[in-house]
Amino acid sequence: MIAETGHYALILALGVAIVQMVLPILGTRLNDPRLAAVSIPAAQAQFLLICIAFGALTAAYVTSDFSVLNVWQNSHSAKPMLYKISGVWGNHEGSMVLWVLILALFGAAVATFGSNLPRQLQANVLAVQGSIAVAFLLFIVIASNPFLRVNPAPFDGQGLNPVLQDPALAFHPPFLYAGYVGFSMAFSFAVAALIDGRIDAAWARWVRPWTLAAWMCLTLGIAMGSWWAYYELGWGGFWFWDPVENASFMPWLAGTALLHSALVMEKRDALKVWTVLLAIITFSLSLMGTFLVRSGVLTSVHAFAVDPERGVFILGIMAVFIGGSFALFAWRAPLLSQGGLFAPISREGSLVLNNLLLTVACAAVFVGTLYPLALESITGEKISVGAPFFNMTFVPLVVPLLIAVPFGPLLAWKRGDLLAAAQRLTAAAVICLVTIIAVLAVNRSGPWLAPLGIGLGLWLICGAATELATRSKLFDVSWSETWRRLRNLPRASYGTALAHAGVGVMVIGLVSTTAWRIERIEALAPGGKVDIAGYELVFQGVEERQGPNYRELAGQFAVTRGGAPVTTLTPSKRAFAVEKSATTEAGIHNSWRGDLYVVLGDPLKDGAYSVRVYFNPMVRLIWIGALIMFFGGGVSLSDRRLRVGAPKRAKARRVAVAAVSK
Amino acid sequence: MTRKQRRGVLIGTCLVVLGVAVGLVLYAMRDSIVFFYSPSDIAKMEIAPGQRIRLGGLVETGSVKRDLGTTVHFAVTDGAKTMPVTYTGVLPDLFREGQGVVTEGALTPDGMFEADSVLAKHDENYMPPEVAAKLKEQGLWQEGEPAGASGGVITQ
Amino acid sequence: MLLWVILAALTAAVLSFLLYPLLGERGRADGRDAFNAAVYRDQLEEIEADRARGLIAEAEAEAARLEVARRLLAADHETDGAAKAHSRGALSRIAFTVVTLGLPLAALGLYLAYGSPNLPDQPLAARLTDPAKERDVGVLVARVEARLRAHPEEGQGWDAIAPIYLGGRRYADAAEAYRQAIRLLGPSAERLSGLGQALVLEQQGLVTEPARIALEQAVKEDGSLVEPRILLAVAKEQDGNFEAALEDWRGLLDSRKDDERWRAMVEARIASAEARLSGKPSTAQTPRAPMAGPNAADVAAAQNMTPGERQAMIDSMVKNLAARLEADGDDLPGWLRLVRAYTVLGRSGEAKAALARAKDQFAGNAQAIEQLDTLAAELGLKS
Repeated sequence: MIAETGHYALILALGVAIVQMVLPILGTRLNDPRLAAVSIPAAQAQFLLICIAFGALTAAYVTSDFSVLNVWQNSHSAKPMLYKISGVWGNHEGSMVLWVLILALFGAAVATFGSNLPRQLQANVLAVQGSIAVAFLLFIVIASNPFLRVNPAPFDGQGLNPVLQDPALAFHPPFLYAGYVGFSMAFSFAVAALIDGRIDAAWARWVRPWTLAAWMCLTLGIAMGSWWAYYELGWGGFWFWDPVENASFMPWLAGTALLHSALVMEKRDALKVWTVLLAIITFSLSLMGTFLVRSGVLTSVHAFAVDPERGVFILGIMAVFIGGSFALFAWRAPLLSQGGLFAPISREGSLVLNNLLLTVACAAVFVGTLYPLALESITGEKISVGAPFFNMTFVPLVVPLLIAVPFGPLLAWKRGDLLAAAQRLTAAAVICLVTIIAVLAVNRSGPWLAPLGIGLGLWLICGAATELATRSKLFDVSWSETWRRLRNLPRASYGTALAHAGVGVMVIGLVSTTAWRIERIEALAPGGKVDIAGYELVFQGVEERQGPNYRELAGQFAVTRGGAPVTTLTPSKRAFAVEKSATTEAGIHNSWRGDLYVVLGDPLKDGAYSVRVYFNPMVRLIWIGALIMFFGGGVSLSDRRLRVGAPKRAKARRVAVAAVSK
Repeated sequence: MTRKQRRGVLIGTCLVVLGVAVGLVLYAMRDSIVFFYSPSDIAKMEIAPGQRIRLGGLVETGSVKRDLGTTVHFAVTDGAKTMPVTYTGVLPDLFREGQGVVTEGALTPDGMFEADSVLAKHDENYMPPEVAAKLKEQGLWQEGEPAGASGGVITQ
Repeated sequence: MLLWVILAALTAAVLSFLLYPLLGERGRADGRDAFNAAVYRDQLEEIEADRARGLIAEAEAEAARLEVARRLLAADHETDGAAKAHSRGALSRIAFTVVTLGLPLAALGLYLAYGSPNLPDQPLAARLTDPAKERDVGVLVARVEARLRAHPEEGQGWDAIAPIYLGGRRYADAAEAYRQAIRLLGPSAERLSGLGQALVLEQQGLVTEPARIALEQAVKEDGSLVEPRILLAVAKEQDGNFEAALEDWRGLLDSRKDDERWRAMVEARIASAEARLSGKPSTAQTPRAPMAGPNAADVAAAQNMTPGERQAMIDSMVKNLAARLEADGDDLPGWLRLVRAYTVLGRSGEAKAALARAKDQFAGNAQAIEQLDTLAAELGLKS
């Protein structure tokens, strides 16, 4: 009964979504406010119904109701409760339900908190959200229905892919989806603006904060995925430029660009058409991200089911939304009023540069990800585009962007002074140069680019600090005045500084672990030793252990450093009986210097095991950086005041120079 | 600066960045793309030793031999031809004889394949699509292996 | 019945909530300019607040105010042509009627197409305590499993469930259960022999080192057990040690001369091993499967053959099985095996035909039909 109620609620939600799509558009076209007003309860009812459906599916998983086909295929009675719940979205059908749940949540938010929006705009936005929901709900009900039943019910399920049974991965999809779907808000506002042929001032209240929220979720989601890949896959790597990773990275790049262009739009009322286009691009990439992964086009753990019917359906949805919105853009964008042009050297100018580099970098990733697919479908040749391609294209495009980042916030709106900004950054530049030289001196043998990379990361951090120092007039005024100014600074400024510094922290982590990682592969018999990065590991043998739904073979490694015991690492190989599959659990010891990472390999002759040991210097900074970016976003989001970018009047410095030269 | 100049600067910057990007992509395309071959393809084509390629097929049953250290020798087959492979390192969890595998590396001058990475299939019913496609060409593998329930017991 | 009441109530609640705005007074007029003005007012207030806190200078505040004024004018300019909003009663009524009728009908139609309103929920906990299912093997297995998860130290449970797993082709589970039973209750010939068989079958007939150790111990405990001795002989063949294997086979034949189940197979193995030793390719007739179908040793033996021999052996076994079922069809496991064999051999037409015949044979037997359907689904045969 619970399952069937959920099934019906899902179908009813589809009906409500159709109403939400049709009536408001009719209402705004025919100027009938009553019809348009239906959009509000429709969005709320749709959300509640999908909640019921999602709750029912979760209940079926929690009680191990194997009469539900989806539960039988993806769960097992012996699975720990956490993974019974995360199993709900650990499969294709359930993850699609989660997707529409988040979509409906955003729709309901516009309906409930949108009283400060013009009715017409609100109705159009909800109609667009409704149309996305219709497409996805139809797809779920017809081609990916999670509520199909099995009669008679089997007695136990087939289990969840063991590599997915992990806490980080349990929460990776919800955040990723919140990010993807969050961009639907910007998309709906963009399409509504195109339908209307005008952009309301209320855009400022909605698009940037919601884009920011989506961006935060996506940042965290991607970081969790990479963290999981790092410790679960047993390769010690954190990013593989795998198509599935790229699929989530492209919306992130476009979303980051959107975040910055929305800023120009909010503060300066400029760059409107570009922002609308970018909103469409970002959400299109999100759709593509969902679908590349779900359709099984790409090869990976994520390709749950390769099913041609689904693939075609998915392609249809993509064609309608991406094609439709681009066509609408081509047709209606000329109606939108352009903002004014501005000086190249200004805050706006720097944000345009940011947008340019981010979108081009995103395009490079796009080409690298889709080119193999295109080539295979045209010529049948199979190629793989791996890390070397992306390192050669993406990195050179992003490095200039990162160098430019500290300048942006120091430039004034409308017309900036590059020289003055450069002067303010002198201290930061000196710190970076000294560090680069110091690192070069210590690591004379290492890759010569690496110290520059460390310098770049530090440059971003110092740049962020410089911005705060400038704004609080550090050293120019008394300490108490600086303190007062620091307290009064808008939280958005702190958000910017934090997020930019987070990028810097991440760059340092990326560079140091890529350049100075140490890898050892050894055949170790019990008593064998490995020396790595000042640690000494002694292999003490293996023991068998029983977990809740697996057996594992755990190796024992005593770790000492300079004779003093540090820790005992127990990397293991787990065998999951139900899923007939195995996973590798790395043993990781982390310190401020970096991670000691041990993987137990296959048994060799004479009781020896092949063992892989890595030392990944400062690898944690990658995820710490992502967390700082996330918190920066949060701080900025908490500042909901509407600001106008106040241009500075002619510079005092110039006046002074002019006075002297007279 | 006049309006015209401003527009000029904007468009100029865009063109420069785009040009650089296109150049980088084309350059990288030429150098860092890895083709996928089956053992038969390698026998047919002349592939220079040292060029990075991917080799895929089934791990030949009985071919896996280990040295005293961590080097492993095995053979990858597509039914028609077989290619000896050496690999130093830890094999993935799902590496088994008779199962699909994709290796990346280069040919040595004496006709061996030296792999620096080995990817195995991810679960019981799954085979890397490249491998499946190549094996289907060779007639070694057929569809219709158990691939989860479909139809039959599902009540609608 | 209760389900329909819930669904009807849900529909009614959604409809009344959804259509409420259509019944109300004419909706609020769209004061678009007012909304825009509100945004600009907020922005002006922020400028004022920033100026008061000293974050921006007077001159900058002035410039920002000008900026807002400019936007205000631009927005005014845009809204000129906006038409007056008005609600038409007729339109609302049409929409009301269409949605009231259409939504429930469409939802019900789709639900009936995809839903299973007659199936109750079947949470596992409730099913395991359902007395109606007392005799179902699945329930018993699930109950024992649930109990063993809670009390993994009960050796009797492992001991009881291990042979059931082995019979049900869950070889990995069987091996695990035997291991646990041995750990808790100590080794016995049966347990060791079962463990060995499970390990061999799990590896599709390959006698691995742990399996060999278990089998040798089993023979040490009880030399009269046939299965471990056969598998140990196979192990020697697999090692290439045909002389030792031949000795084993002969020993087996001597001690078990009157046992029809094994004799034919053992004789065939002797012939093949002798042929191997004399350097000739095996000419021995492929052993005919005894009535029980291919057993572990046959499967193991198949591992050692050349692909051609193996194919011939498999074909002949399948032919025998088909012939036997043709004569006497009342053998469900036989049918299941035949369907599976045809599918594995890629002869899906024959697999479907066999499936259909088996279904005819067991037309009145719901449990048998269910098993056949499950197998068909598993093999992807559309019946």
